[in-house]
Amino acid sequence: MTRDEERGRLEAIEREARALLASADPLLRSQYAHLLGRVSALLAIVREGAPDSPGAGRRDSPAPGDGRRGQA
Amino acid sequence: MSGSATLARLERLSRAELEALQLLRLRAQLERLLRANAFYRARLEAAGVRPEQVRSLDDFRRRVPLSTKADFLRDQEEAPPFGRRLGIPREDVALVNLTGGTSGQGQEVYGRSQHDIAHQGYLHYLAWFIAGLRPGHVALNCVPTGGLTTGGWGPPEGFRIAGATAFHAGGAISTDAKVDLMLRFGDVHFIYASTNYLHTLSEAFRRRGLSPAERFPMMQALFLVAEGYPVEWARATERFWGCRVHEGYGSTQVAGFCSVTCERGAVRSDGARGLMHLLEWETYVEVVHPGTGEPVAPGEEGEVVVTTLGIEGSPVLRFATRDRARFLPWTACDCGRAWNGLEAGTIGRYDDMLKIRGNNVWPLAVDTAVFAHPEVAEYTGRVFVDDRGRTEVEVRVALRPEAADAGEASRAALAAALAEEIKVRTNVGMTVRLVPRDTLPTFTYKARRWTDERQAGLGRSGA
Repeated sequence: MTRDEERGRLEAIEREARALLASADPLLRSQYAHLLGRVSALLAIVREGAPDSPGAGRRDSPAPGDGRRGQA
Repeated sequence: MSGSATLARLERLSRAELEALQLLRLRAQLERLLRANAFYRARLEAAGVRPEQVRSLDDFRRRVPLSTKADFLRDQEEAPPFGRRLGIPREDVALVNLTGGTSGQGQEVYGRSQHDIAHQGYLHYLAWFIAGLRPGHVALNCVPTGGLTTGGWGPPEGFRIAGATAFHAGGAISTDAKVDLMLRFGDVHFIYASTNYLHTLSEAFRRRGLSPAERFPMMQALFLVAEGYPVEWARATERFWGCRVHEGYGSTQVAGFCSVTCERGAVRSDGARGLMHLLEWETYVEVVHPGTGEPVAPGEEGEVVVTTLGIEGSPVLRFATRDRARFLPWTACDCGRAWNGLEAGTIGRYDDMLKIRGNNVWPLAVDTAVFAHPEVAEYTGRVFVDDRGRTEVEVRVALRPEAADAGEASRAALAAALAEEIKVRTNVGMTVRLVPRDTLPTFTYKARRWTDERQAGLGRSGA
């Protein structure tokens, strides 16, 4: 798997984790927030590495606190 | 009841449906252990147990042998350091937890996988959620964190996945500093502490003339762990703090809590003790006669036996905990959940029992007698052999400042009342001495109030 593919998969998980934050169940919602925090931190690590394709890493460089956007 | 759709499904299950779910998960666990766990595979094969033969919970109880601490320690000696019961590759262990070693026999080693660490956190959060903790609440964790124990690692993970704003203050700052911290942040919704430490924290508020009920009207729950308490103490604590006292029971073996009080709390409005509902779909809990291994009847005391249903690393199957609890059926609580339970406030250890002049004395019985008096701040007990070779028991009691400053007559009357109540509860006459508060220790987690010095004394008198 290339780094771009890894990043793409993580971004898909991040989108799903963000969508799960809409859960009305308070027992699960905070755990989804935890999941999103973990995934967004991983994405930040992957994006910091050298991209497989030129310019791919720069486009998505995260700002501090990006992973927390959208949390309840 | 709890506002969680996930829990609501479990809260609506009939008793038969809940037991069917347990059986399903038990059989899955047996299959997993036969496949992946050399320790339990050997035991199950020796007992001739095959998952498909286990058609009921009774079948499980009858066919699967108990496992004990001694079994685990032997396994660890034979296949150090985790023993063959680890059941996952060693390199998949992301956290190691040890039992406290207070039994003097040795420490059990538990290897947690990434899954187990998350699950261990959930088995803390789940109990706190049922007691009233919600995402965004401010929580004060008074139990020391980190180290080698489950009690040190489960709560931080639990508060993290709860989305709580947690202060892990246990063991890190003084009691007065905790009070200052609470006052500084203003809103505190949840306190997690050993029974004894909550007592210490309440004392600190009293000493400073502060009313927690007035300062923290948003407080949802005081969540107790590790030690029993008298009903009178719990009710006085609820009045002082202006919120419910809750209790959870769990252990390293089950990686968190396996039971918790519901919204009815640890003591009922009629003064009866509450019921800690078992989280039965996560851990299969039995209460058995220690001698025969047969289930106790509703209302009877017995030994707690646990089987984990969702843990990968170092799982336990019918582990005899040596914890002593009173079994209560789900019908003993009117909350509507069909989850059986254990009586709140009375769980003790068979290992803690002291044999004094032919009587079985549990420290909890003395705790109950002593702390039923709100004047008492702390106490310790000492069993020893005097110069004439007689077994004696000294109970040293420290009073709260206002009681300590009372006249000599009222102090003497209190000491006499304490001695009388201890005698009634234990059948043993003990000498009660009132001492200054600073001569007794302050316990931050599990209180160790009793010392047994009889062996030293017997050695001396025999010399």
